[in-house]
Amino acid sequence: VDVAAVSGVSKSTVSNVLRSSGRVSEETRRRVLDSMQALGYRPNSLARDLVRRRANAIGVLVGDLANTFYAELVKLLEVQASEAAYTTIVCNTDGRADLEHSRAGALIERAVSGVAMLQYTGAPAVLDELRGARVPVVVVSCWDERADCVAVDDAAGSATAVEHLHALGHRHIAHVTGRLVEEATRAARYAGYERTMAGHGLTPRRMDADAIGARTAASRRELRSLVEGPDGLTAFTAGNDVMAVGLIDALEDAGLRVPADVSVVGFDGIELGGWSRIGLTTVAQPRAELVARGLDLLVSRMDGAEPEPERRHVRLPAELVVRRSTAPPPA
Amino acid sequence: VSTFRRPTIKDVAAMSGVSKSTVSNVMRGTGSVSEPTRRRVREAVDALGYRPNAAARNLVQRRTNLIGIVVGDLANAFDAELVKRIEQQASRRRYTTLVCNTGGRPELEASRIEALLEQRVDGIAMLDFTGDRTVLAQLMAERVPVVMVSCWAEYADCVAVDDGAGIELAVEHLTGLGHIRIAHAVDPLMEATTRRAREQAFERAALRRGLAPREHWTGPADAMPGLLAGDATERPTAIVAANDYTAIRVMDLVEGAGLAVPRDVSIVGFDGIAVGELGRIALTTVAQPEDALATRAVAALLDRIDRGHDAPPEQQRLMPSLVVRGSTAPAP
Repeated sequence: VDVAAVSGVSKSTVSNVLRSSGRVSEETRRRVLDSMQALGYRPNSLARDLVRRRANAIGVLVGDLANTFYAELVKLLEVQASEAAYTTIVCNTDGRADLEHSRAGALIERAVSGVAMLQYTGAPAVLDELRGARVPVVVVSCWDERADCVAVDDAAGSATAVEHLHALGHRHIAHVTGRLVEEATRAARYAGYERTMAGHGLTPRRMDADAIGARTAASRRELRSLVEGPDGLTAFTAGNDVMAVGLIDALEDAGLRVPADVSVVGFDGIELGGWSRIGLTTVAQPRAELVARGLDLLVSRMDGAEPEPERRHVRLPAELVVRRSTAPPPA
Repeated sequence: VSTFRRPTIKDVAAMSGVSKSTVSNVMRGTGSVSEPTRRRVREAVDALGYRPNAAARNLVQRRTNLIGIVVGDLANAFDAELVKRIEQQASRRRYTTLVCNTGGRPELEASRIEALLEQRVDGIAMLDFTGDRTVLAQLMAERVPVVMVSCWAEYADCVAVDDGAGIELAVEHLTGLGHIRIAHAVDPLMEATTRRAREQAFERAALRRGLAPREHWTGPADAMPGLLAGDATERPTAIVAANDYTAIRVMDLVEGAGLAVPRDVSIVGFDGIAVGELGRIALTTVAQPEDALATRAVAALLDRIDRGHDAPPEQQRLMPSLVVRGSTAPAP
């Protein structure tokens, strides 16, 4: 109202200038903008949202910010979104379906323009609710047929890890995974491992990361017997880098050497794995590209440029990065 | 410190001889209040210069239940873990969080805060503050409550670790091991107030022990291998890093240059991130009480949102603790 009084125009003219809609002469527009500046007027985004129905914000649902892979993705997304003049609202779900659901509800209440899910439990209610509220969604770095998504080919990435170990001479390779990877991704990475093992006529074996990394007397004994006993395991592929680094720590804690006794391959390509003391061989994801492509998909939906209901799925290749956590098996 | 105190609703109630809820009814224009009482309250409000602030804002339903979190570097595990904890605490109290990353750059900080204000956040938790006074002044002018978490600013609510005490613990530990030539590795992405506080604390701790501080011995991680390239009887034998992230980078660079940690050089970090516990890293560090920081920060911010700006800033310093692992050893 003050802005209208100072610039000598009606409230709806001010509002037209703010929203860049309606017919306003250049001179009037300038007068309104000048008085806004003079008054330090800030359009109330709540009121503006009521008119436009959407805030200039992108909601981000992330399973675990303490996993640096996701923290790095969020950081990239935040930077790229803000270049496109969007604010990000980040919610941590701890990979729990109930929290994911309630956070999605909170984002809908905030009238976000779109939602990027960096991890997705696969609970259908969440997607249904977002769709019901007509909020565009993109799933980044995990896979869901029901939504637009951008991810690496997890199964092919896992296959690369097994092939690398096989070429080094390993035949007894287990896959370690657990709750730190969300379900769809966990399944896809295991499937790639299993298929490749079977292709070489080898027996697949799946183990739980929490159990063998527990650092108890029993878990240490278990690790030693897996390697030194009749199983004779010489290598592990892990569901992600955090679990791989934890596994190396648990193996060494149990008195085994990496890679002299056991080789370990991770998945993701977090910065930690590149530190020389860790030197993790891993299947790296192209983080910046995942985020850029995901944001493209989302923004095109937000602009209404892409019609529902066709789903778009983008698969990016993952890349094996060989460091020093892998070596030929002991003679 | 000024003795000036902002008038509160209590003062208005006392002066006009009515209850606080009557004052509140008058301010909101609700309830049945007689015209003479209403006038008396209005006069007291004017005489005292009482301005209903955040509290009043809530009363007229302007609350968004949204908290902004400004963070310097999400790729630093300490920041990411702290954001996660704050988010969990806030969500328990039915607040949604909005996270912005500044990369420690003042111009980004200002623009991100502008964006948060446009979202009409009820309050802001700053995990990182570049020390830009105009930013703080703007927030005060907008009457948006702010809490500084693990960083520091005068005139704002702060919950932070005692940086001086932490650095003192690190230097004490090293001199106890016989180190007399100690360098300090800083993190350019770390916000200025904390960086300066730790730098100054490092100088004081060194001076107190008669260790002449050498100017060029304070620098970023990349500068450390150069310092260590010199004569073995002259070069530093220990490095206190401004945070764990920097400590681990220094470890990486130093070992890359052919020196061994801790045989040739001892390294102490600051923060206590989970990665430092790994056997291969085994970082001796000054650990921050992360849970207490997050819990107290959220409590302080929500308290400020509920009660408004009347109370003077509350500044809490929490004590860190030294965790000794394998990155430190007696001086060579």
